[in-house]
Amino acid sequence: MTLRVTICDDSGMARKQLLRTLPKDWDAQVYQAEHGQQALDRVKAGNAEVLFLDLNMPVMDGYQTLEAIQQQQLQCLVIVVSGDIQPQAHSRVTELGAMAFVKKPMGGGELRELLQQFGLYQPASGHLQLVDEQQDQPENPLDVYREVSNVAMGQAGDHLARVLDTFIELPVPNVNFIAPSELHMALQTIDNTERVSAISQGFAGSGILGEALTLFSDTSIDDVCQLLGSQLSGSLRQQRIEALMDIASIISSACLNGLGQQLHVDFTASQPVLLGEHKAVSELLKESEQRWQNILAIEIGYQLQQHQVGFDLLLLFPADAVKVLDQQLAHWLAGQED
Amino acid sequence: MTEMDELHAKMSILGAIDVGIVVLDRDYRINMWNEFMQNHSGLRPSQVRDKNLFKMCPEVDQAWLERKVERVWELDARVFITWEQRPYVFRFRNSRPVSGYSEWMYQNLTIIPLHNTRGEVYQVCLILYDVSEQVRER
Repeated sequence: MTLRVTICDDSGMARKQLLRTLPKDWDAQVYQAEHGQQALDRVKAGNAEVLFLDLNMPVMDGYQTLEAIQQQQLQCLVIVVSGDIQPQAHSRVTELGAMAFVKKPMGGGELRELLQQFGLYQPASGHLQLVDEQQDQPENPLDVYREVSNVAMGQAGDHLARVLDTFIELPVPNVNFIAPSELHMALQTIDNTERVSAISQGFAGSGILGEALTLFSDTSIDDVCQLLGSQLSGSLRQQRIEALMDIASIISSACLNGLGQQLHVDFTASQPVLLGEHKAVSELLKESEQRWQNILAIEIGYQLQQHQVGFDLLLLFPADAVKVLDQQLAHWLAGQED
Repeated sequence: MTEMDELHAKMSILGAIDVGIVVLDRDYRINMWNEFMQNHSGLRPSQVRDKNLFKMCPEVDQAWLERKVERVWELDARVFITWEQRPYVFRFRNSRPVSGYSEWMYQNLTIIPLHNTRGEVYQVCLILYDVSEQVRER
């Protein structure tokens, strides 16, 4: 009996990547979905006996999808495939009825073992067919950056969760080419009218130079201070800076690590600098406006569950770094083909 | 250049740079203490070798530094500390004792994990920067 399988991920690249990992001799028909709502439609149409489900997606995320499957008592075996490696993410999806949880990027061997373990796959049982309902969309070049950031930010979220002892809501990374003067437009988590403080950290690896900005709105800094509580010392201002530095170095180190592992680049980060306190977002990069016309901005907005706290990590790559980055990504994509 | 020559050159550089280097093991025993640390603290490497950091430098805020260092062990990631959150970690005199801006040396500190050949965190390294001039320019 041919098995009907759906891969649900907002990133076309991530779907392709998973497709390539599926055993070629699997007697299965593969459908695709870009978000949870589409995945539910596939389940209801009987085209998702097995569902590979990403967690962080627009429209309807993985958690909501699992909830809907549970509530509507739909027949479907769900394998969650996510860059979010927080133990709490794992336990949450298990509670919501997911059969397995695997972290991105997944290897072919690991997947075969998993499928065999659940009796879903026998070697040489048939061949894999891709059901091309929707015409394959031309690959969005920003998609690659988004997917690479996805994996990197998952690691950072896990580190953050361990230090702050709370669950971190991971977003869909927001990737854009912007002019420095448009920095405020790259920010989704922080309200443009809010005053922010920012830490800047330069990083470099294999000729790729970039800058990591961590931005906190003034209101969220006090909440972070409360969370870190007894770990802080000194005057009130020193405590605030300590909280900023702690959070900024945790997420930028982990993100750069994750990024570097995927690109095979060892990034070294310089000492973080307090870029500004209590400023409007538009003021932060004022001095650099002349130098760069276009920068690649990857925005990752972290939200702490049960707290009204959010902060933004912006990874900024000037035009000449993007060239090297693209070469590196081309190698990376080629490596995925094997 | 032989390996020994190269090692010798590296050790000379480690001694000449204007940055403090301290390597600690899991129990905060000092495994390395470069010339910068020696010159500013007055403690020779032979005096501090395998001694507990907090015994040798009682001015260092133990509870606070331990929290930072433990995070490096746990997360296998660097930690940065800026003078703006804490003006100094080690109580050193300003390196320009006469015309210097303040009595004490303002410091930035970076703590990095060091790995063994199996990729596990094996030691941590404190890298101490004198930023008194930067502070003065502010």
